Parts: sequence; C-alpha cells; structure tokens
Amino acid sequence: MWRYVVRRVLVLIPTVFAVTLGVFVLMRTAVGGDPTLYLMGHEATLQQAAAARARLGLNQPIAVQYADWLGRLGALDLGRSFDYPIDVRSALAGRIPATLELTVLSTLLALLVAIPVGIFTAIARHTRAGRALSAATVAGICVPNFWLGMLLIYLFSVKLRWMEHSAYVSIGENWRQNLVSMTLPAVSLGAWYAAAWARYVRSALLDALDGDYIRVARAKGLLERTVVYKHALRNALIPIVTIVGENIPFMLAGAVIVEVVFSLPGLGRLFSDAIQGRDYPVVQGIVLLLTAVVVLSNLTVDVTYGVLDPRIKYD
Amino acid sequence: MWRRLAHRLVTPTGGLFGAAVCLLALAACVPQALSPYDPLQIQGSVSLQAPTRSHVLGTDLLGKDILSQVVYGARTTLFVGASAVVASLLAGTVIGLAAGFWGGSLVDECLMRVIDALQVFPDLILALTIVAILGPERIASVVVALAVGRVPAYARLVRGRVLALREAEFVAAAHSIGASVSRVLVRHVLPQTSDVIVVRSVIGLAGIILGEAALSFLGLGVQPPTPSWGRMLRDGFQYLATAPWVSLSPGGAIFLTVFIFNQVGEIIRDTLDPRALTGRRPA
Repeated sequence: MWRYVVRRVLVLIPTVFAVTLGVFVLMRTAVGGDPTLYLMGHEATLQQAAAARARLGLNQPIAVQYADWLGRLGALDLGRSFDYPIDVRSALAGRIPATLELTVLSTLLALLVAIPVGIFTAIARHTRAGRALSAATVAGICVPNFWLGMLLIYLFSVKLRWMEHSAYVSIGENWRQNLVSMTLPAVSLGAWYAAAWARYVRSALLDALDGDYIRVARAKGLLERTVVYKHALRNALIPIVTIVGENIPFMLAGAVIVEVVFSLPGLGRLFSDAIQGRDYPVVQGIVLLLTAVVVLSNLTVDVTYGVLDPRIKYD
Repeated sequence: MWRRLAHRLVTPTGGLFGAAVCLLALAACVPQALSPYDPLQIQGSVSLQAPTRSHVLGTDLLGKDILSQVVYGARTTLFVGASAVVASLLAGTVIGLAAGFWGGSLVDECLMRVIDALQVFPDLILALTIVAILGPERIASVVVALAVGRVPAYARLVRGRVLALREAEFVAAAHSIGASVSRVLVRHVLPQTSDVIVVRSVIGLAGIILGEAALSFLGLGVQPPTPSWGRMLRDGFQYLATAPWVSLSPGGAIFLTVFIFNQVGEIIRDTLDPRALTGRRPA
C-alpha cells in the first residue's frame, strides 16, 4: 500500500503545480486584471501606476514572476498581500482556524443527521413518516446555503432573539461563546450535505438489502435488526466514506459564501475579498492550499476505502 | 425514449412538473405578461413596503416591485443557466468524443489530464477564479465561469459511452462502407449518448442556477441593472430585520426552480433507467 501512496503523491505534485501555474498566468494576463487599478483607484497617474507595478514586481515577465514565487515557496514564503500589510502565510494561518472549525462542525452535524435519517428512510420507506422524511431530503438539496443562513438569522436572531449577540469569538477566547457563534453557520453549511448524504445512505442501504448475503442471513433466522445493522449497514456505509471525503473540498467552497453571510473571519471570506481586490498573492496562496487539500482528501479516501474493504488491492 | 418520456409526463406528478417548467419558460420568454410593473421602476413613496394587494411580494428600498423583479430574474437565471449548460455540453461532448474514440492514445491522455486538473477544483471556487480573471462586467464571463466547471462531467460521460461503443458492430460497419471518423462520431456514436446527456443537462441546470445565485450574491455574478435573484438576496440581506420579504421571495424562487429541475431530471432518469422500467425501485 505504501508504494501506492508514494506513487500517487508523486503523480499529484505536478497536478498541484500545473493548477497554480494556470491560475498564476491567467490572473496576470486577464482583461482588467491589473491590481494597481484596485489599489490606487482610477485617479492614479500612469507614472504612479507604473511605480506601483514595479514595487509589486508586476513589471517582470510572467515566467520570472512564477519562478520567483516557486523559489520562495521552498522556504514556505507565499509573498506579501497587495491589499493588507501582512504576508500571505500569516493571512492564511489567521483564517484557517475559523474555516477548519466550520468545516469540521458542518461535517459532524451532517453525518449525525444523515446516517439515522438515511437508515430510517430506507427501513421505513413504505410508511408515511419515511416518505415525508425522504421528501424533506429531496427538498434539502435544493436550498441555497446562503438563503438558509439568512432564514436562520431571521428566525433565531431577529424573531426569537435567541442568538442576538452571536458575533464570532475564537475557540481560544471562549469556547462556549464560540460554539454559539458557529451553530447557525454550521447548520447552514451542513444542511445540504445532511440531505444529500441521507439520500446516499438510503440508496446504499436499499442496494445492500437486495444482496444475496442478506437473503442468507434472513434464511438463517437472524433478527431483522441484526440483518440490517450488522450485515447490510456495514457494507452500505463503505461508499459513504468516499462521498464524505470527496465532498470536503466542496464544503470548503461552500464555506466561502457562508462565511460572507455570517461575517466569519475564514479563508472563504479572504478568498472572496482577494478576488474582488485582485490580490494575486493571496488568491495564489489559497488556490495552492485548496488544491493540496483536494488532492490529499482524495488520496485519503482511496486509502481509507482499501482499509474498510479488504477486497480492494493496491497494485 | 421520447415516447416513454411523453407517457411519463401525462401522469399527475409529471404533468405538474411539466407545467412548472412551462411557467418558468413563459416567465423567461415573455416576463411582461406575468409582471405587474417595470422591474426597474423606482417608486420612492412605497420604499420597503410589506406585501399588499398592489405589490403582492412587497417592494425594495427603491420602491421597485419584488414580484416583477422575481419574474424578470427568471429570464436572467434561465438564460445564464441554459447558456452555461449548452457551452459545457458542447465542449464536454467534443472532448469526450475525441478522448473516447482515440482512447488509450496520446490525445486521450492529454485531454483527460486537462479534465483531471479542472476537476480538482470545486465548481464555486473555479467559477470565482474565472470571473476574477475575465471580470464580472459581462454576462458572458459569468456563463463561461459556470460552464467550465461542468465540462469534465460531460467529457467523462461521453468518453465512457464512446469507449464502450467504438468496438460495436454498427461502428465497424460504418467504417467498412468508408464513413469518415467525424461522420461515424456525429451520425452513429453521438446519438447513442443522448439519453445520459439529457439527464445530466437537466440536473446540471439546477446546479448552475445555484452557482449563478451564489456568484451574484457575492457581487461577482450578473451586474445591475439586470435583475438577478442572487443579487436581490444580497441587497435584501441588509434589511433582513426590517423587511424580510425582500430576500424571502428571490430565495424561494431559487429553491423552487432548483427543485423543479432536479425533479424533472429525476423523472427523465427514471424513465430512461432500465432498472426503473423493470419495476425495481429507483435509487
């Protein structure tokens, strides 16, 4: 297996750099992509803009700029932000905790809801409650997370006044207050995944219950509970590991918009601000980080899949 | 395939969703027929007015009628969505046909590596980056941004189907009577992939509508004065405490439209899925 992991990592490294090179070149050759326009406004004279470009290193050929960026990357130096007086590594480090916490809480919440709901909608599919819950999961994947966030703010902060003062507090400052401030964002982000994963669990469990080994288990006279939970569910949950792993990068993408709705100081909001302000070094740093997260989560999924299902062999 | 689908649409559920799609198409094609006011008409005297008989869904800060903006927003949403689906479908189909027909060759290898690199990114991140590169000023930038993320799905789908079909007897027969590669691909192989493409396009449209709303909500989608549901949500967010109707209606419109297209996609998939036809439950 280790040989497989090493080979995959060696293949992934060029992919990561190809993506960063693509974004690097495209952003610098973009129409209207000159960051000095955003930094200095339209009042700046041509000389002032040229001086700003020289100061930021943007007057160099793109190949030289990319080589310079790569050279500094070796020392984990991602450059300095154009918009803020801070280096990109510190900017990212300051924003990672909120995004990480949001993603972890949303994943846990989604799993806590999805697995029981998925099991129930599969087992009780012919009952009214089962059908109603199944319809709710269908509706759940159609709700935009930013609209859900607004509805939750309206309901819990404006109408019920339960969370009037839920501005973000870091976990280090006050963990209780932090949990309160992260509840609504985690529900907004996790709701779509709860609905989608519940449908996967339902579908996978129904497929598993169709298997010959389940017929054998029932023929042996095992209790239905044992058949469902011990035999069918164990096999049904294997694909869920893949789905959860594959969805984590998408959750990070969803965090962009949820962080804007709830004013959370996370990577998503930083990315959105950096894109609107043409802050190239920050965009480049976040793209590198996201690409690394995506490829590593895909690799982790593949390896975990093999551990959970011994039939899978790594060549 | 189309006959089976027509049969499915005459059932109550199929008819309901078919009618909903027709209503959306009507709103997109002739919004003036459904909208009571000009969506850009400013009426300072009715600023942030709650729903009344004259303004069924209320008004926004500038006194613009929300219902009219929602109706005209449907045109924007469906135009951007349909354009992005067509663009991604065309690009994905060409790539998939080429990669599949020359499967295992250098052409296939190069095309699929590009597709892999595109797939690394979640759609929203890719769309945000592309809009940043092209600038959000033109609606075409938004269409391209939303389309690029969908290309890999079509390319993989078509490639897989072509790989399975290229050794089929009818393809060999077409080659043997001297048909060119492009003729074999377009006249014989492509029609065999239409069922999977139709399902993917309808469900993909729902995803693109969500993507367009997200971009507009972040201020990087369709720009003013063109009405857009995502931007209406963004504008209404500021008055959430005092005038919740400003953001409730466009959000509800996004939800319903996505729901309708998801359901229509599922109806088509169930109709085309042989497992569903043999009475086995759909997944």
